[in-house]
Amino acid sequence: MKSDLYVALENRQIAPGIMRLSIQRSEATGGMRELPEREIGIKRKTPLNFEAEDWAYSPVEPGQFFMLKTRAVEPLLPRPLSVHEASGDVVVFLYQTRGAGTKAIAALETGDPVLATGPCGRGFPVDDITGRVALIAGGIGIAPFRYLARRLSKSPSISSLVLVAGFRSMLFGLEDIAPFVTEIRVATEDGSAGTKGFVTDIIAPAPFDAVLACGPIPMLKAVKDSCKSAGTRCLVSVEARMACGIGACLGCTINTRSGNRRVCVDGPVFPAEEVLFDGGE
Amino acid sequence: MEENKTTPNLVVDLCGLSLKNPVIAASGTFGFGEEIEPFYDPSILGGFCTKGLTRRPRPGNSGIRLQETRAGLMNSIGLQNPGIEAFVRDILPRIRRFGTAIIANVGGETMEDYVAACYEVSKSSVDMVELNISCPNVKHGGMAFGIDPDVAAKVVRSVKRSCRKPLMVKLSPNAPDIVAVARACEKAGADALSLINTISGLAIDVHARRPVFANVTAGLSGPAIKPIALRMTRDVSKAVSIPVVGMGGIETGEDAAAFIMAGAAAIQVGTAGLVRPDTCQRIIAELLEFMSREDIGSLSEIRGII
Ligand SMILES: Cc1cc2nc3c(=O)[nH]c(=O)nc-3n(C[C@H](O)[C@H](O)[C@H](O)COP(=O)(O)OP(=O)(O)OC[C@H]3O[C@@H](n4cnc5c(N)ncnc54)[C@H](O)[C@@H]3O)c2cc1C
Ligand SMILES: Cc1cc2nc3c(=O)[nH]c(=O)nc-3n(C[C@H](O)[C@H](O)[C@H](O)COP(=O)(O)O)c2cc1C
Ligand code: FES
Repeated sequence: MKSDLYVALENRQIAPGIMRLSIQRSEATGGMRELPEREIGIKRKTPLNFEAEDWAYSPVEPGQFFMLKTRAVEPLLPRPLSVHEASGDVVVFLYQTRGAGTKAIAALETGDPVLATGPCGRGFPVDDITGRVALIAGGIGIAPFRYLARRLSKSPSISSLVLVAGFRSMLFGLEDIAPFVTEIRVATEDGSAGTKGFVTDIIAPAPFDAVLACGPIPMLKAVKDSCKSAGTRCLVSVEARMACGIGACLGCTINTRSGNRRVCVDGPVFPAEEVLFDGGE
Repeated sequence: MEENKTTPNLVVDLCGLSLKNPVIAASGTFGFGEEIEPFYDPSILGGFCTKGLTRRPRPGNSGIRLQETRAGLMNSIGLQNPGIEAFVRDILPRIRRFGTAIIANVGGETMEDYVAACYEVSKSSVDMVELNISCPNVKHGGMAFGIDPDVAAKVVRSVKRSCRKPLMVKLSPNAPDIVAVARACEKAGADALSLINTISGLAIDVHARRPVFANVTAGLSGPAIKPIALRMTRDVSKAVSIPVVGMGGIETGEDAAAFIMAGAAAIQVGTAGLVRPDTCQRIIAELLEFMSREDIGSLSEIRGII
C-alpha cells in the first residue's frame, strides 16, 4: 500500500452514468495544494496487455481498492474505487457518477494528476477459491469482477465460473468479463434484457462451491440468506463511507459477529456469515 | 555560492518532554500509529496521540459515522477502543519501538472513569496523557466536563492527584468561554492544554427527514474550522502560562507556522492526515522549508508574535 501521484490516461463514458478511468503511475511529486499541472500529450508507449501482465508495484488482490483524489478543492476526502484491472503501471476503475466525489473523478482529462492510495483492504482470496464458482454482481458491483474473473480463470482449481449480473435497465461491463467466464446470466429490474427481476431469481446457490458477491446491501443480504440455506460458501464485498481508507479513523465500521470491524482494512471482502446486515442476522 | 545557513531548529520542549519537532498526529485520526507505517517512518513525528482510550472497551457508535461537508468532515465515532488494559498489554509494547512520543488520549463518562483511566494508563510507558474532556460524541460525560470551568477544574484536580505522567487537557470549542475553562484547568494543575476538539454540528437528511447521525449532532473538523481554532489558540495562549498545543484544520507547514505565531508550543494534525496519509511528513518538511526561506532559526522566534 502506497500513496502516489498518477496521471489520468483515459476517462470515458461506457454507459449512461458509468465511466471507465485508467491511471498511470507518475514520477511527479506534489503537495496537497500544488498537485502538478496537466501533462499535455501523454500517451502510453506500449499498448497494455492485461491478459499477460500483473501490476508492477505490488501484488493486487481482486476486490482491493484505491482511494482517489483529484486536484479539485472539493470534495476534501478521497473516494474508494475497486480495482477493475491492474497491469504494468496502470490501474483501471469502473465507476458510477453519484455525488461530488465521483463527479470530480468523472471530470478528469487525459494528463490530469490523480492522487491514489492503495491497493487497500483485503480482497477475494483467489488461491483459496475452488470448484464451481458463481460471481454475483448488482449494478456497479460488477466493477471488481473483471480482474477477479481474469485471476480466477487462470486458477487450475476452478472448474466453472458463472457470472450472474443484475442491472436496473442498461447493461454494462459484461463484454470485458465474457472472455474469462463459462456462462453469463443477466437480470434487469425492468425486463429490458435477460430475465425480468433480481439476480436472486436467476441463481440457486446449491450447485456451486462458492458464491462471490458485490452490490447493494439488500442484494448481499438476499445472497447471504440463500447461500446459507443451500450450505454454499459465500463471500461478500461490502461498502461503507470512508475517510482514510487505511484503518486510522474507524469511520467505516460494520457490525459483524466479532464486533465492529473496519471495512477498509478488515474488508471490504468478508465471509457473508460474518456480516450482520441491519445490525441483526 | 549560496550562503551556508544552518538548518532551522524544530525541537520543542513540552512540559519536560522533548519533541523532535512540533508536529503531533491528532487523536482519532491516527489509530495507534501502526496504520501509517506503510507510508512513512513514524519516528519522524514529534509525537502522536492515540485513539481516545477509556477504562472499559467501547464498541463505538452505530449507524453512519462520517459525513463530509464543505471543507470539513463531521464524525460520530463514539470513542471505539479496546480499553486501557488491552491497550497497555497488547498494543503499547508493539508501538513503543516507533521512537516518537506517545500521548495517551483518555476519555470517560464519569469523574471516577477519568481518574481510574488516567491512573492506569499513566503507569505504563506512555510519555504523556491527554485528557479529553471535549468529545462531543459520547452520550454521557465527554464534552460535558469541558463546558463549565468549575466542572473542568474538578476533574483535572482529581486526575492530577494520581496521574504519573504530564497531563495535557484537551479543550472543547463548544464551551461558552474557552478561556475561562483554560484558566480553570491551569489552576487545577494541568501541565499543558490542547485545543480544539471538534465543533458540535448538525447534518440533516432532508429526504429521510431525520438527522444523518444517530446521536443527532456530530463533531466538525478540517479546514473549515481553522480560523476558529487559530483565534482560540491565540486567546488561550495569552491567558495561560502553560504550553498550548494548537490544532484544527492544519493542512500545510504554513498553517502550522500560523498556529505557532498564534502562541502554540506545538501543533496537531487530524483530518488532513485522513485526506492524505503522508500529510504529517509533508508538514514537517514544509515547516522547515518555510523557516529556511524566512530565515527563522528556531520556533521561539515566531511563537506568540501575533
Ligand atoms: C471498498 C469500496 C469500493 C468501491 N468501489 C467502487 C467502484 O469500483 N465503482 C463505483 O462506482 N463505486 C465504488 N464504490 C462506491 C463509491 O466509493 C461511492 O459511490 C462514492 O464514494 C460516492 O462518493 P460521491 O462523492 O460521488 O457521492 P456522495 O455525494 O458522497 O454520495 C452520493 C451517495 O452515495 C452514498 N455514499 C457516499 N459514500 C459512499 C460509499 N463509500 N459507499 C456507498 N455509498 C456511499 C451517499 O450516502 C449518497 O447517497 C466503492 C466503495 C467502497 C467502500
Ligand atoms: C474521525 C475522527 C476521530 C476523532 N477522535 C478523537 C478522539 O478519540 N479523541 C479526541 O480527543 N479527539 C478526537 N478527534 C478530534 C481530533 O483529534 C481533532 O481535535 C479535531 O479533528 C480537529 O483537528 P483537525 O481539524 O486537524 O482534524 C477526532 C477527529 C476525527 C476527525
Ligand atoms: S476509512 Fe478510516 S478506518 Fe476505514
